[in-house]
Amino acid sequence: MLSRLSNIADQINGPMLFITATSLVMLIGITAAMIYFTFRYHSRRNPHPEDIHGHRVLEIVWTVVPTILAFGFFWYGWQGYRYIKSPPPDAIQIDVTGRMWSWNHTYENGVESPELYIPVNQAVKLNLHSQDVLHSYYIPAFKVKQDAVPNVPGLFLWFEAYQTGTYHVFCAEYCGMSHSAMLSKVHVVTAEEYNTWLETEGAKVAEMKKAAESGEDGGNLHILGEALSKSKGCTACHSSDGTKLIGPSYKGIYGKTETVVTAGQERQITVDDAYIKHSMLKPTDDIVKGYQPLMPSQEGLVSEAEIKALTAYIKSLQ
Amino acid sequence: MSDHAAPVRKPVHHGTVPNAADVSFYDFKGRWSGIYSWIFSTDHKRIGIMYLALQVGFFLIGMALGFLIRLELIAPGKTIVTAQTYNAIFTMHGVIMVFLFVVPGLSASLGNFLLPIMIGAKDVQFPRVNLFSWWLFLCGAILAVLSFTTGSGPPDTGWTFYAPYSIRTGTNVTMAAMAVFVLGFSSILTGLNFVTTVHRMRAPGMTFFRMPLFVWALYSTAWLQVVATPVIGITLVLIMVERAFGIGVFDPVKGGDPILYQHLFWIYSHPAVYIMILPALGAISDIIAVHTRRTIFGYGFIAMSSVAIALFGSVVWAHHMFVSGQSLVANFVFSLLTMIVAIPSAIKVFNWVATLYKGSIQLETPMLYALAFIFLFMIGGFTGMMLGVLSVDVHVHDTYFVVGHFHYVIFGGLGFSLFGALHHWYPKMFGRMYHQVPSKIAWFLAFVGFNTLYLPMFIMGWEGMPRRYYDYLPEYQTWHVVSTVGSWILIAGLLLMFGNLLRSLKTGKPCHELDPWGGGRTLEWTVPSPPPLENFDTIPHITHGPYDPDVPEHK
Ligand code: HEC
Ligand SMILES: [Cu+2]
Repeated sequence: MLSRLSNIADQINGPMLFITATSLVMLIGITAAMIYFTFRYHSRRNPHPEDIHGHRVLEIVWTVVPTILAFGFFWYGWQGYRYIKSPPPDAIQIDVTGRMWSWNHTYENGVESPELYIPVNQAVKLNLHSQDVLHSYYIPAFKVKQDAVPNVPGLFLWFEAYQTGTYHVFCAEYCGMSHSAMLSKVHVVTAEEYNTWLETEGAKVAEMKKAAESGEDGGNLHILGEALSKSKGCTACHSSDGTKLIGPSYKGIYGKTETVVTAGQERQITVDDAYIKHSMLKPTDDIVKGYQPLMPSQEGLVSEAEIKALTAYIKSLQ
Repeated sequence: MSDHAAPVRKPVHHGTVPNAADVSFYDFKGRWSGIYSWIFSTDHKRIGIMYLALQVGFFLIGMALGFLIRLELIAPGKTIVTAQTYNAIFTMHGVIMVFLFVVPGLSASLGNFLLPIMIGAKDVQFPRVNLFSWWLFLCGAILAVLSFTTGSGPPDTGWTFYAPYSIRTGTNVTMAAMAVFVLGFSSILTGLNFVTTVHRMRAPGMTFFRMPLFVWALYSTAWLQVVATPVIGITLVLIMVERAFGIGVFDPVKGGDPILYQHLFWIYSHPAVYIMILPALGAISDIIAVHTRRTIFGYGFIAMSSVAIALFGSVVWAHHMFVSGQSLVANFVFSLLTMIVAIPSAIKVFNWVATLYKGSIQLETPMLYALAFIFLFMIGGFTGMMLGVLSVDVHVHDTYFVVGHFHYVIFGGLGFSLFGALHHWYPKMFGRMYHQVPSKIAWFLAFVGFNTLYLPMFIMGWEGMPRRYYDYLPEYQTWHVVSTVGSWILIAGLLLMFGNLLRSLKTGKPCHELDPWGGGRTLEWTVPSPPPLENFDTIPHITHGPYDPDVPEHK
């Protein structure tokens, strides 16, 4: 309940405890008075009521006391909040992107990961972005939360985790069908483990880049594409086995002729490399008939190499 | 505060002694008969009852949807419906409960029935506009139902219609927004009518500070309805325009601003909370005064606190947006203002409790609801303070903590107050008494069920369970199960209560006394039960405060 898992939790537990204690005292006191009066002045015991119109001193007391309390609560909360909004300049910076319905974490060396890895006892600052609708990055154990708003830069949260372990990440702002499945994890590890993880992942990224740039389809480009499809969150809406999710299944679409709605007009297109690329970068231009314009644009989020890999993957699903 | 100056207290309500020739407004033969005598009636009493009928109907639908939500959540994973259906269900639950039950609330139903009587008037200022408001309400309600049942599926945005999701989803959002737009006009017209009625129609001698507290509350509410409702109207029109023509107002991809939507939405929807709670607070004051059979403690403070709540309540909207990314200055100001609204609310609670002191209390069903109300309202208020505190809100925002909080305020507040008020004015409205024993059992079940349902939400919320979740991690299950069991108890109580009230219309003991409680001092207790068409034979002349006895027992 009042666990001390992060520096931010400390800022929140204090005021919560203070307000809860004050509230409980008042709640119990007032309820007890209410029950006592109801009993004592029940018409059976007190057949003759007395008209008391008020009491000036009492009114002043019960106006002033709540006022002082309210301002006290406010100030306590504001102090904590200022701290919550003041990240230290040397915090580790990680970019976090929310999209329907997954999270992606991008590290300074280019590593991307659907789950967050951070070192214990070091300040971490997550810069939040959204590709489509509102989301909210929430780690209950650390008591941190911040909305991610599309096209609004500068949204962030920061914290310092006190204990190694694995913790849950939720999306707290409703974002459509699979909102409650938009989960991730935070792995708090020691500084050494963190550095090793970052290096091995970085090496993988470099390897993939090379594979994608070297030649057409070395035979395993589509395997890279499959991994990308997961890590970029495409699988939330596109299946590989023909199942219709939010978007059409990848299976069998390559080379198919299908009906799309372009600026309100229906037309026929054939799915080829150029169309797939366009569908990723400007998905709202051509809406596949029978679907909603829910696909987030991947502009600036996928590189040329990654588009190639993804296309190869789609091509492979015949 | 009340008027002690009147040197001789003569019985003043002489004009209203019932005479045998008076027939009740039910029996009065007008131009229309049958159902037309209702749907074309401009009588504020009939209109009030028609609102009540619609509201109770929609409450029952909303309750059924709430039951489904809780049933789905009894276990993680899929229990009874799919994710998309679940999202549609909680959206419909919210839209129905907020716009078709809570916003009209006590004001459209009981307010319509009682306001003119309480100020000694024959009707509201604009009876035809009043009927028109009801028709608009009906149209809005039909549109809402159509939006759930036709087109591309019921809206799945939550009742808040947050952009840009509401712009992009393929579900029937446009029609739902249209429904809320029309309902808004109904609300605005009722507000206008009530403001004018209070200003122009008070009986001679009824100064503002001789008005019953329910009237004060209705008056403050009416202002909010007039001032705040147009904002949501425009906002939802913008959503419709954006969906239809792709004009970028709120969707950032088209250059719009989703945070602007949140501001516009809450500029109305926060005051809407006060639109519904103020009449509830007013009704509680009146119920307590009657069932303690004494004058209200601190009349002026309670009346002024209503006004203060209406004023401050209009400028706290952005406390819904503490983690939306708005500026620190905005957060500072809105957190502070939010704390200030707690003060008039606290003042009311203290004065109610003080009114119990040296009263002669009858624990009739309305009084039980009133006492339960105070308890639930306090919990709602305290948890509201926690949410208003910036640092705490970062953690509990958009979790079950919020769900628990607003159900304590809205359901524990408005709901319990409305149920109490229904029992309290039941003999006045229908000329019969409800059956006592089932009404008390129903109250008990509702109170126990309510707390079993909503208290666990504070715990879940503090532990991080986000709201609007179809599925959840197994560690939250224990409290979800408790909560779902609570919903069954609560629903049993509510069904018993409505069933009992309905049955009593036919089988209740006839009760034609002017004042069946023996403690009523406001004007509605001086007219027959049920009242005649124009309420009063001759308009009464008022010489003292609303809760002072005609013939003083003490001085
Ligand atoms: C939020 C759900 C969602 C996500 C995530 C998503 N898409 Fe889509 N996608 C859709 C929908 C809906 C459509 C159909 C409507 C349209 O054409 O825009 C679509 C259409 C497409 C098409 C065209 C298919 C056809 O039959 O013409 C391609 C290609 C595509 N997506 C690729 C991707 C890739 C690659 C990713 C991951 C980087 C991705 N999508 C992520 C929802 C999504
Ligand atoms: Cu989300």
